[in-house]
Amino acid sequence: MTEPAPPPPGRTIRLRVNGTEHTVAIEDRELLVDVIRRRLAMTGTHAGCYGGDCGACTVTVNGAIVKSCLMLAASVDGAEITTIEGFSGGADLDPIQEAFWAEDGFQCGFCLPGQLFATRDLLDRDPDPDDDVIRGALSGNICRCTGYVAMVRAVRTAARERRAP
Amino acid sequence: MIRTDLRYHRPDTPEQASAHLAAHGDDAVVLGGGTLLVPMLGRAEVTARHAVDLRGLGLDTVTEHAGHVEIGAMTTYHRVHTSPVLARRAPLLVRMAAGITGGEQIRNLGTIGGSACHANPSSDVPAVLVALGATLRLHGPAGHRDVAAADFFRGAFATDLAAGEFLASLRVPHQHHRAGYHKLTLCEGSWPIVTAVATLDPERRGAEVTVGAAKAVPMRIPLTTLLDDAGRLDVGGIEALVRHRIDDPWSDVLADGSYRRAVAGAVCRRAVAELLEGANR
Amino acid sequence: MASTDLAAPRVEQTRRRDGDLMLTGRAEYLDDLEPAGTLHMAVLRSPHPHARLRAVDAAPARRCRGVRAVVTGTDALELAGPLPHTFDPTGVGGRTADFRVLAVDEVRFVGDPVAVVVADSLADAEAAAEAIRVDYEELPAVVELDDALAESAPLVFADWGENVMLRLPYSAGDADAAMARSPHVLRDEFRFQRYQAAPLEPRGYLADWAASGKLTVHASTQNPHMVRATLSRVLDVPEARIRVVATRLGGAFGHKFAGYPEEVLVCLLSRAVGAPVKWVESRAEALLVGAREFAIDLAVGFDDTGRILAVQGRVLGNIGCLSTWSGWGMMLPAGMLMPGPYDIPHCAIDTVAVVTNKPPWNGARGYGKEAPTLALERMVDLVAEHLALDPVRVRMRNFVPPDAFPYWSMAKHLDSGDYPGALTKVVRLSDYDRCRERQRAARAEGRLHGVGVAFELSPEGADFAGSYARGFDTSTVRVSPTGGITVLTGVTSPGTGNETSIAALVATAFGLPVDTVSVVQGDTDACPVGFGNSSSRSLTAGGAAAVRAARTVRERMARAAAVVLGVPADGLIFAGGQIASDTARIGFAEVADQVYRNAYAIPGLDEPLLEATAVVRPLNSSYLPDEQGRMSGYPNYSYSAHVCVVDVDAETGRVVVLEYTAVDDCGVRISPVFVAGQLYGGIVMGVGGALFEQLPFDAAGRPLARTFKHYLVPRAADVPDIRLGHQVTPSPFTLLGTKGAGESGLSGAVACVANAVNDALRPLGVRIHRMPLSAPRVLAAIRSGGAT
Repeated sequence: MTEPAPPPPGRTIRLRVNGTEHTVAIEDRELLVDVIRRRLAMTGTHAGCYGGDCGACTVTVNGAIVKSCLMLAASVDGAEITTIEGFSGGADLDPIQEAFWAEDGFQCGFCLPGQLFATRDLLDRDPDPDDDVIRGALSGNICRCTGYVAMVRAVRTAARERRAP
Repeated sequence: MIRTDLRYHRPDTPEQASAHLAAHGDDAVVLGGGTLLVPMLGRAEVTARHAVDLRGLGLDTVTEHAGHVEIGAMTTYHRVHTSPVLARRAPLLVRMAAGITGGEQIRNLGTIGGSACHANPSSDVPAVLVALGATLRLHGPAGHRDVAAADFFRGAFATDLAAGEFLASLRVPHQHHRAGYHKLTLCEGSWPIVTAVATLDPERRGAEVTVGAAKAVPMRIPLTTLLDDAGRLDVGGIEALVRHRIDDPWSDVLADGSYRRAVAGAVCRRAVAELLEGANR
Repeated sequence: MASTDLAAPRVEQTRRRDGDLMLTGRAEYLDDLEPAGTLHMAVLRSPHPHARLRAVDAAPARRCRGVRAVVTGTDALELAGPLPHTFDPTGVGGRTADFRVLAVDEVRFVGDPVAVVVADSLADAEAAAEAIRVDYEELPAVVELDDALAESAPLVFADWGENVMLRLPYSAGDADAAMARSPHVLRDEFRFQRYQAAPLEPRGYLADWAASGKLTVHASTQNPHMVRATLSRVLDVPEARIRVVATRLGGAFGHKFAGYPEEVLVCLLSRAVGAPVKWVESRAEALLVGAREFAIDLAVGFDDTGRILAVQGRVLGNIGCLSTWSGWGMMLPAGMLMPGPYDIPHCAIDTVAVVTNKPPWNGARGYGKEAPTLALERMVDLVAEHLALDPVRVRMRNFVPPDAFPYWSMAKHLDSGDYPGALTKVVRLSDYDRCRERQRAARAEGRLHGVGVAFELSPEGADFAGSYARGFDTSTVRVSPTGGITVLTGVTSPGTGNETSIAALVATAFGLPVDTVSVVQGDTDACPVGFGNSSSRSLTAGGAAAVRAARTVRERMARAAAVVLGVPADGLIFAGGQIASDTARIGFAEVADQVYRNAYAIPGLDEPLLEATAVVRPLNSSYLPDEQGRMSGYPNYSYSAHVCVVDVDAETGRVVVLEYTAVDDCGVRISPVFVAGQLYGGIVMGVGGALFEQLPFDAAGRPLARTFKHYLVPRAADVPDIRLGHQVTPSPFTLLGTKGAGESGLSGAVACVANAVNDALRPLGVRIHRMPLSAPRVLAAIRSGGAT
């Protein structure tokens, strides 16, 4: 090979992220997490493993929580996406975020996208989960700092706050 | 990062999908939920220049038919878990889907079809499909063909899928009897080490366990020799019978074959015990 | 000697600083920085554990799309000098070698960097790295300890003549004689697996070598000043032209100690291409880093009452290849820790660091204290078993008594403590007697149900003169005209929240709300030279230095306020944002403003330096042997007592931790909520290491764990809630009475779980001393019916 290869195959996709429309040129091989982080410069979504194991890249795609390192961006053309930047939906902090802060449910903060989205996904289904259910619901995410103790407490507190009239 | 010049294809029809696959041969991969394939592409454990995404084919529905349920290959674990049809007709699948690790984020993406095609011995899906007597509908350049799950899994990471073919759907016979299920993992983040499905068919006096992850492919082990004249099962005889049949166990980084062989009998016995206890309730 | 400020400030516990930024995705980590034009580096690494590099042909990579530069080991010889150690083993009598940023003619572990590529995108850089053709001549490799120590073993470093890097004999008293006269002697062997820190955010570096000649490096590192010093030496650039900024860390735990070649490689590539260059470690690369792979032989001599009279043994460490990222230093506490919290005057431990062709170690929370804690705590349990005594009782029988401090224990000068008090407390908090009752009931049903007890001594604040592992640190406190406070400190935060506590300490000193204080960390252009984050010393050193500096500034503020108010300076109170005497008061900000506006112009207002820098040193480390030849490199000794309850599945070997209780004493707690957070995290890392975290290798020396599917870490459903109690025995040697909490819990948890599992297996007559206690290993032990 003497000539460098032509640019890799690409396309333009549309994404609605946290309520804002984006038209973005991507390479077909690009992952959703990288398009969000690099092309859209929304870096609150983190990449801890690129293997679908740690959960730090969690976003919602068309309302469902997913690990964005597992998706080619090309496959979500037209999707509605919420990232951690849009988690509170315009308020300063959602009650789940407030609970995580009040209970010291995180330390370095890197895993928060997964923990917060998994918590909301759980509480939307089950407003009063017991500890085993909470621990099960958080198990798609790795936290190396907290030992999960205060985090589980935070989910309980968030559940209580959300149930309060 | 995916370092090959991957081209993304999103066909609208099964014919187009097969045409892409046929045209690009080994240079093409089928993209399902992506939970297995995408990271492997990123680590260059799989290299490809064409990804054929099945998302455009409408293969994500569960349809009830007389005698069987048809599950589109792109049906996610989440959808399996929450499907009223499957809760009625194939509750074992629902139960398996609920136990998939990796969190709801994985269950919202991962598909039972994708897991079947990946054919990792250490996974939940293959043995359950075999136990349920599922049939896999493969679509290729020449149209459809149906393969029984027991024939589909050919070895570790090897299936009956031929060039140009992809999995279109799974046809699962209505589950007429309860099944017992047990899965052994090392911890929450561990893939399955051994799984077992126990089934009992009182009318035909059949009893069997289907063992997953213990060997390269799922294995059905009839328990009829353990049934007495009254139709009661000698639960105590299961372990020895199973151990004897796991002659060439599967090994991977989490557990070697000797361990799988050592625990397979107990896992099977627990699946059977659960089934029997359930029957007594 | 005692210098603890008995009026150690009681600060108000506040929420974690910047929590809102982290919760909303606005906190910036290393990989979030990407200036326009940033290029990406990929590293080509050796696939072989040991090989000669016959040829490296980079030409195919240079022709690849997007490639801006390729550098091989030979190229790098022109661009960078030898890498210095952050902790040079020759300083303690060890061996070293010539370390380069890229391998030149030999690779010594899988992952040894061979060449680097910089390209427009990471994907293109990785594709090009793959195109480099390397001609390797494979050489014999040594992988496991026994192989490395065998006669005629292949050598990792040919000119050493052996694979032993360092021998450290620690001893006190006469262990041989004491052992000989002991009525009972038990000995056993322990294997501790290679398991690492695995912070969720991997390492990363972003270098921008501007045309002006100024090099700016953002780094996900624990030691920014050490990185700058290394860059200056290796690149032969004055430190004045280098700025290193440690970014917010997504966890570190020792994995991000400085000394890695990639710190330098991004810089020389940035210089070569004239653009910012970034590299972020992949998870597979992160999983190469090793830690704490030990084999320990231990013998204890004891009498009929359970009093331990002597401890003797050997600690072998498979440190992988030696490197400049100095995880080998974990060998020091590994031997030094003995005999832990116990009053055992006769002790001899040989520590031997052995190199192999596994990738090198870096630090990992626990830092070599976990393996000896495991071995020692298992031996105490075996003594109890031998004498049919309760393990709590044997510990009580042997603790250093509370009135004996400070106390020389081999190479440790223990500061203070009430060890029986902590154990008593955990016994009560865990309802230990009921645990034992339930165990009897479970055993009657044939269940394998175990109760574990363990005690952890956690030496902290490592202060090894001659190295950059030092116990002192420096902080500056500055008051601005509006009364704003800036703290600049040499300690950095790995994500634990020490910035919050430092702000609280300083705010308290001035009687101000905490949000008037900003804390600047990790920026070498702004902060005093410091050692960053290591050995649980952030508050003991950096926090205390900030308090000391704040007090100096407060005195100047008091004198200024006295002048403005016309009252004596003595007795002025700083509270509620005011400086007040009995008769008059003035706002803190007003005084600051007056100083800047009217210094020298108003008589008496002549100290406008509202800034002070202070250093705080540990007062309990020794740098030279005392008259009895004793030296102590650790000044602070936190400790904790643990009880846990486990079930073992006899048919599968799977262990479930049902209950966990611990009581810790890290001296004065500045922010109790954050201390608890450290304990929870440390305990769960210990449980993970006790049960399943491990870095497996094949027989040839190739690592098998590339992802978190292979390297299993605890998830929420793997661990129980943790009941935590605290005891406070201030250190008499530190300004604030603190001892350090960053590593507490881990070693105790490893030992506690191991004791509980062994306790569960006791009815079977089975012992298991090979870690981790993974289900396959436990089942094998059960089936073998004996010791493994």
